[in-house]
Amino acid sequence: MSMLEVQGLKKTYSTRFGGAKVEALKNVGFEVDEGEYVAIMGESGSGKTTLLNMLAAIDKPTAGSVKLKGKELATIPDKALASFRREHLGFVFQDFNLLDTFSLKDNIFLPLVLAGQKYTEMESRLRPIAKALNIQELLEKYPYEVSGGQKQRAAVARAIITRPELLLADEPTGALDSKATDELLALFGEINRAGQTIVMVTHSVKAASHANRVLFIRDGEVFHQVYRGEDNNEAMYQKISNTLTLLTTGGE
Amino acid sequence: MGKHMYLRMAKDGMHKNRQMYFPYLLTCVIMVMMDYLIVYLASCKTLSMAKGGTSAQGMLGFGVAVVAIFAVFFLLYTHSFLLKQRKKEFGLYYILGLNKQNLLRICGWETLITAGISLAGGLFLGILLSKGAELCLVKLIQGEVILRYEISVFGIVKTIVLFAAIFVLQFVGASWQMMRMQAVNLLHSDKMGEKPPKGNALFAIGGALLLGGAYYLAVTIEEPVRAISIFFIAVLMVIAATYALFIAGSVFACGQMKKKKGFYYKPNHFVSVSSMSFRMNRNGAGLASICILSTMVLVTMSTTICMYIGSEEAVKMQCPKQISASVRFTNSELPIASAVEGYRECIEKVIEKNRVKVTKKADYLEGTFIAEEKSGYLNTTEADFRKGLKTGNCYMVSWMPVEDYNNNYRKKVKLAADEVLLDDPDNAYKGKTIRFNDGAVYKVKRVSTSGAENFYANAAGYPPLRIYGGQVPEGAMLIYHYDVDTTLTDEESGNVSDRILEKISNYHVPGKTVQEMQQDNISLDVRTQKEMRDGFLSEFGALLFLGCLLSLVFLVATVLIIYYKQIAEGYEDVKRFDIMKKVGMTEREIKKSINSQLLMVFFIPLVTAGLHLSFAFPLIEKIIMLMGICNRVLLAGTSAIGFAVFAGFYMIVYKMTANEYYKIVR
Repeated sequence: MSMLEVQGLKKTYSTRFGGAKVEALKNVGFEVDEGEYVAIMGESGSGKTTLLNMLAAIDKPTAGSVKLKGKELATIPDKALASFRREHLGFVFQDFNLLDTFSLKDNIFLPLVLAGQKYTEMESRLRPIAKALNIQELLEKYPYEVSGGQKQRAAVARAIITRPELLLADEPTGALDSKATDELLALFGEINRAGQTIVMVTHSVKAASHANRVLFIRDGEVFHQVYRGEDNNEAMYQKISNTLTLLTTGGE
Repeated sequence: MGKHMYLRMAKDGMHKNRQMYFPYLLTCVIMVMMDYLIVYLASCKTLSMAKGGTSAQGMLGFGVAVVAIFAVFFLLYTHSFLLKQRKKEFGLYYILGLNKQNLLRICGWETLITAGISLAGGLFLGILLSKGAELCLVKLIQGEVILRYEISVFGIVKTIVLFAAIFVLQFVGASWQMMRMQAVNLLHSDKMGEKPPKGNALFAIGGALLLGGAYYLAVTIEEPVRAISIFFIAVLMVIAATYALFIAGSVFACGQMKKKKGFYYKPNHFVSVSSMSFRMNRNGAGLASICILSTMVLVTMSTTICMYIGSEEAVKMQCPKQISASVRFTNSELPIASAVEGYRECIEKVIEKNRVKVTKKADYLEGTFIAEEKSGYLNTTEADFRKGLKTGNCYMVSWMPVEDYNNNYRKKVKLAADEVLLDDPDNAYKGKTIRFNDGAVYKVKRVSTSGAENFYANAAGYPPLRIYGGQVPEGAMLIYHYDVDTTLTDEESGNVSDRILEKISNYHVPGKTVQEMQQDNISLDVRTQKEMRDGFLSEFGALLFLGCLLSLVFLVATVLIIYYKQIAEGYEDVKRFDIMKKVGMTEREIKKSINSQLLMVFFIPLVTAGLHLSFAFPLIEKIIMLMGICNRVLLAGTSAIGFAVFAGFYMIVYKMTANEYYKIVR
């Protein structure tokens, strides 16, 4: 069964006073199955972020639909949106978005606290996650006391502690050095193998090469898809870079 | 380039930060206005021409110093706050290539603009309102209105000098900050959370001890004369203790709240508790300032209002009847009985001659002395008020011959030679006999004579004893009183009292000349309630006016501190709420969390101020007793009403600033 269904998605921004219209997304359609790990690539301005905002129900499409487990996002009333996001989606951001007033542990707990979970429940959920992400020792530290990679791992923990159906990552390696990037990507792979559906927006070929499938977006449309099949990461890397070369040299 | 660019940058900077600058400028304008007003009132000729004006001006002179000192500290404090908020902006300019001299120029222009607006606006408003303020004051002291408009050049000059000095100091402070500025620190400045200060427990214990000490002093003090000096010590102790306790308390409370998992990990508390502990030191200090300023307003208002309302009582205390004459004998070798008779005749002659209709009369001889009880003796002692006696076994004794007692209280008591009546309202004297140190022993018959409290007895803080009958105790200061209520008008009573004084000044006992009487240090005093009332009104009216003025200054400061606290925290929190929204916090949850934070924090200063006020109560009671007002009920009433009004005002300020905060973070 498909976890995420995107059909004929269109988003038009109009400047104030109804002047020139900008088409950020023309016609985007794709599906993501449960347990899949999909990367979305594209150059700056290709509409990646707009697409992610739609998937996260932060922005509403002009036309078309986004369905999560068969539920149409546009029909969710505004009031319920925040809690819907909290319960069904997990987010990892480029700049971590950890709160400096909280220790890492409290940052991770934030969505559960907002959902009104009991402390014992939170603790028991945190233990395996902290172990898997190797941040047990850091839990009492504050964001300004740890490195970028450690911050991002905490952010991942925060995203998956709610057991979301879909994990959305927006350039998660963008602010990390190469070692931390490798660690984080390995981590995403593990999480995915454990059954977590992931959609990641990136323009790092390396990051995308860890996914099972890569969607390329150009000028507001899905331009191409690359499947991993039986390839390893290196072969996947090669495929992606070939596609990108094609994209930039204007193929088709 | 040139100086126009810096001027423009200064103007732009102030305009862009108007959310902070506007209230600051308004405060500066109000401070300048207040300063001019109070200097004007304390020195203007018009007021000194009004009746009671000069004594009122004496009181206001004290206020001039308070306003000036407060303005210096407060404006320097708020300016340093403004500077801190703008550090980032200056850091950006610095990185973009403006050197420190350039930045100082911008700062200089800003200071000049601020100074210009505040002085021009403040002086304009001050001059505009000065006549109104003067009329209010004249109304309070019940003086006559003099229609004459005056602009005080002295006031203008003094205000300009004071505030110019303040602005120069601000500029020096800004320069100092600029010089120490390092670009790197500026770009990522406010990410770190505050650590609990070292020795927090020590802080807490020290604060608690200080506060306990101050409260103990306030509650246990018995001699009003010492109350004034104790009061200032207690005020300093309370201020220090409030800061220590609020900071330590905020750190401690945050720690405790975080430890209680069931409380901390709740949607309402989670965010607020964490941001409170993030800035726990600053939070504590800010709340302590709010608390102290609130207490100052409360104490000032309740005291001055109580004194003004109670002034009639003070009049009665110092002048029990419309016209009260007294003769004080210092030399006991005079034939007292015949002297008293002579003075009485003199006074009655004046009354008859002027056809004064007497409605009430009290004339009696009184002997007063401070007595120390030692093994059953009441020893008259050489009391020195200033040194303060041990209060344990001392009494303020007032003696009266039994005939005068019968006359005044319409009794027909007959006493044996070894009997006296004793009125001991405080139930302090336990003995069954009284023995003066001249050896005379009397059996005590207890009575209760309700009447005016003995003012001096209360002022000294000794329990009063009233003894009726027996021989004149050795060492007592003898005073002959002749008090009358009449049907005269206030003006006429003044004339009559002058005549009485004239007449008794020329009296002499047979065998002594008038000059010899004067050499015997007999002091004569004839006063009317009218003149006492005028005196008190000009004194207490000026005090009330001063209290209102100072309270207004403190209020403005309180509001500004609350406002800045909200704004600064709002800007700090805006990024956090943004993240929380992304993580899935609804608007409603954000609003709830804000309310929880503000509620937890904002009412603590108010409650503490109320506590301070109630412990200051006994001290204030003693101090106004010195001014002649012993009315606990009235003081309690003005304190309670003052607190209620202030709490209402505080609520409004809270609502408005909370809105401001919400607007920033949403």
